[in-house]
Amino acid sequence: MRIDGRAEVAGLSIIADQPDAAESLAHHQELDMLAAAIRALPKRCRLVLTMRKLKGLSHREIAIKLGISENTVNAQIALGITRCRDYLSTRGIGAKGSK
Amino acid sequence: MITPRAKPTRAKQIEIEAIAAEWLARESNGLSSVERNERDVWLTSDPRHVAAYLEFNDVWKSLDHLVESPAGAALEEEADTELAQQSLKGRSRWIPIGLAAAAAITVSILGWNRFESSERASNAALTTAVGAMQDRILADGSVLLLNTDSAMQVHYTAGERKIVLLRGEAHFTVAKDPTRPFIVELDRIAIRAVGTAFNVRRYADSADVLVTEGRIEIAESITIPNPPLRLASDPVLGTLGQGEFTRIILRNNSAVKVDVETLLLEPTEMDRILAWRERRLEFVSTPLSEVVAEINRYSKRSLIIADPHLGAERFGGTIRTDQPETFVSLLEKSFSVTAERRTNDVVLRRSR
Repeated sequence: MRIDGRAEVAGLSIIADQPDAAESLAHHQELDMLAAAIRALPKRCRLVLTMRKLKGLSHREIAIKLGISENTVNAQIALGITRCRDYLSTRGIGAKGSK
Repeated sequence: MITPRAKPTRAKQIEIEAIAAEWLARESNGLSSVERNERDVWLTSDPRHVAAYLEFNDVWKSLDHLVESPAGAALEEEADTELAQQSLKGRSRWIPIGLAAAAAITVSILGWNRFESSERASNAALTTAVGAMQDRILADGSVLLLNTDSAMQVHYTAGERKIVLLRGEAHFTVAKDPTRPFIVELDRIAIRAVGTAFNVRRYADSADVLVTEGRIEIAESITIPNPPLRLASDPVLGTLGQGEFTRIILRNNSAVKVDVETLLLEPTEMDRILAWRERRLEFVSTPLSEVVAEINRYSKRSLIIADPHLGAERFGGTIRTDQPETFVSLLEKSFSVTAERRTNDVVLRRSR
């Protein structure tokens, strides 16, 4: 079943998306930067993030595939987010660097 | 973000970031209603929490841009190679899970990612389509979760934080700010909170209010436009504490007569009202006609009961709001119902 995130309603304007970090990263070079941020992660963390974000696997599926607990999957994702932020912000990209 | 009195040490900031990252990780796995409350309470308790959360959220969401990009494909390939090597060593324990279970997991993840995620918004119109949900952080750090087919207008000024609920349902977790009351307005009724969490569902001429934390006040909303002034003596119609529920009758713009009779709900009853936040509907011995009306809020393809006796039959159980078809199949299999699936609707009848 398809679910639309937002829709037009008579008399109401739609809130404009703020150009955020996500959008400023939409460019080719910045995609490479994101990939580099993931590549710089420790192996298990990198696998977990790739499986979650790129393969769209659930935490449970990742846990089964890697033979680790779901708690470990959560912990690896938290670590991955933090490390990626560090990687990107030292290179001038990220929430604080964007307008 | 630095608050005047709390001098954030580096250690404190690291601690906040660790918690923010953990919340995002748990969110990626889908939060229960209880976890969501916990998250929202944490977010609204300190502006630094929101700031860290939003920063990480941006990073986490930006990784989605890698999907279907050459850079992302390369990463996937590298991961596949590593995983293959790992299973050659016999370390990977792949346990096949049932196809149905796998499908359910995928659907629930897709559903979750369809949330409009945590962006800051103020003085804006917020709307959700049928079947959609929106998770929003407002400029003051208050957190809103909008249910299906809802519309509201956010008016933040220096003196107050006002949300006009035009249609639908939302859960509000309000950031504490005693100098700026938080008000949800429904026609001429105002629900006022300082720091609290509550759920409001608007019907055409009434509204259900449930307080999940803290306390709120329900008052007649007397506002003089241009400049908007609120009279100090808004008649308070009632107050509601944690776990209390009321149905307010809205008499559209005529003289308001409101009954605020409160009910103290059992925790299980509260969970039932809030189950929509996990894309679930829970029913206990509910007439099928009501069950179908609820499900129809979430889907453009309506279910129609063509048989009044069937409508009066009682149903109990849990239904996923994004899987009306599962419910129809269940009726066919277990309740001897025949479903006629047409383009825009599904007609339900008793089997002969």
